[in-house]
Amino acid sequence: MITTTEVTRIAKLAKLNFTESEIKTFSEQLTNIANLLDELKAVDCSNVEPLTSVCDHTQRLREDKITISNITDELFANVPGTTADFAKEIKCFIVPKVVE
Amino acid sequence: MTNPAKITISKALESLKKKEFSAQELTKAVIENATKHRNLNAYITETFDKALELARNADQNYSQGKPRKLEGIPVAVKDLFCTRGVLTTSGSKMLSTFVPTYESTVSQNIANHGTIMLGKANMDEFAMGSSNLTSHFGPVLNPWKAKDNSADLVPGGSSGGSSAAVSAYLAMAALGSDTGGSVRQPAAFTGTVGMKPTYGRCSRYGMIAFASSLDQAGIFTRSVEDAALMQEAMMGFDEKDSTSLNIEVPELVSACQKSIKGMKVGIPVDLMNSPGLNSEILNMWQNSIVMLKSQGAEIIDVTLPHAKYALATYYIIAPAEASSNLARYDGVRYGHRTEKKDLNIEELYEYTRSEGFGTEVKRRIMIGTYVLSSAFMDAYYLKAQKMRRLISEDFKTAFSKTDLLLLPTAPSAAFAVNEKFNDPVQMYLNDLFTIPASLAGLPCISVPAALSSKGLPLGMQIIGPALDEYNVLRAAAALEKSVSDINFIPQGY
Repeated sequence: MITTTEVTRIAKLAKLNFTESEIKTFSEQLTNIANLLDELKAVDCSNVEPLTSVCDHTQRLREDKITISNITDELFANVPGTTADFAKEIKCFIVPKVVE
Repeated sequence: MTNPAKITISKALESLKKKEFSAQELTKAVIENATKHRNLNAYITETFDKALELARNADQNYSQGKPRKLEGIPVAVKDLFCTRGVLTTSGSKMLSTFVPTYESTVSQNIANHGTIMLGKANMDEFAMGSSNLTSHFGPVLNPWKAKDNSADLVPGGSSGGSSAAVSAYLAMAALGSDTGGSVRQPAAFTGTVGMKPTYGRCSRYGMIAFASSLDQAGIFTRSVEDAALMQEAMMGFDEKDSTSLNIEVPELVSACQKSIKGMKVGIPVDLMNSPGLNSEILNMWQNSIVMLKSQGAEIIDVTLPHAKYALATYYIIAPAEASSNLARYDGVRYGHRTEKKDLNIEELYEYTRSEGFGTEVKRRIMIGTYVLSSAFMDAYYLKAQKMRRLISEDFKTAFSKTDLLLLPTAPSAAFAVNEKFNDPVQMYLNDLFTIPASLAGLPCISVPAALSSKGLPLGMQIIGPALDEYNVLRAAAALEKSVSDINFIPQGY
């Protein structure tokens, strides 16, 4: 059972907010989903190595060299909100004050 | 003259070479269909003017005798492939004004071969869904309707705009993406061919991420040979994707003419007792076995003992990866940003994300956050990764005795748009047969193989060992040949 308190805790971690009725619905639905996921408890996997990638090869590395440059305008092309023009002008992303 | 919009790509290429019609005539004919059937809501963004311009270039290339491999073929592109200068939404309010400044490798690859993009195809939000009902831009309608019933049906999902577009002749092919079945299931629901290659064959660069260890580009076409043609153009090494396979792109088209005599086709018999598998699907499965056998295939019973855990495994791994991937949508650099004033940074994130994401996406982010939270990480996420290995090993064992596996694509035919799924788990069951191959990263295809008693298309799935797209297409073409007497064109199209 995933309680409404648990749903509220997860929502905080996921940076989402919900109404009380949404939290109640999520509590029911996530409980059903968790029951589905709990089917895995029936299988003993103690001697199994986790599979993190289906690619057999090892991670490819590249030289630490600049390949793309001078794309500042592109990086700011989709900056959202009422402060967008200012962000583009000063080439900084704008967020609320985070330090006192 | 036959309508150029209604023939296969391979035939269209022949006709274009022989100048039986021009690329402009072909593009205009497909645009005419797309315009006529706008009610299907298959496209989020149309790029018809640009398409006509490209068609003029294509005609020049033909007249100068130097057409590229897919010169002048009009296609749709699922709206999660970033397209430079063209709105790319991933079916979400979060990206409803996002215009990428770069192009995805796969859409660039096919364009380099001469395809013409007609527009961006509708889809479930962030590719999360099996019905196209979760799109911020409204549901896509399946061009198919059941006999004696006018109810609108879903085109499957998440690549529902792509499947409907190809089925209704609004494009000759459409790019899709397949994370747990998002190309194969909609292909089955619309009577089209849908193929996903081996994980790593197609670059994920510029594909808006859902679950990175599973996401793979795929293609919708109206014939197996067309799927082979398109796959050859889509695949290839790309240094911009760290999981891209640095191996040669195989020639695939000749597979479609090759006999399947002596091929060992495995039947995962333990899946015949799966929950929710309807009798018509079972009949199609059994008929398909007979058809392949009559063409000389050797039929071998196999088991996939852990496949029954694939759904649970997938619904841990995919949401876990999704919740991490979607953490980037914070309203700061791109995407939706809340208009509420006087917020602190936490509130900016929370309002932005709560306004920008739809219900199914939030649900999956919540599941992902839950299974990755410290108290449950080992019980769920780690366990799922172990199960993923067992499922993958099941396939390896099966392929030690067989060349391919044959099973249905979806447990039922297309369902109604207004059918209510109060329990999301019911909707997730749609992915029962497609998820195992996704978890193992294997090449697979859905081929239309029967009509239901209500006259709706049903699809069979063929799964091959890693990198063996050739034999997957070979068997798919054989199955297609066996059902050539069935009409897989929706009425009125």
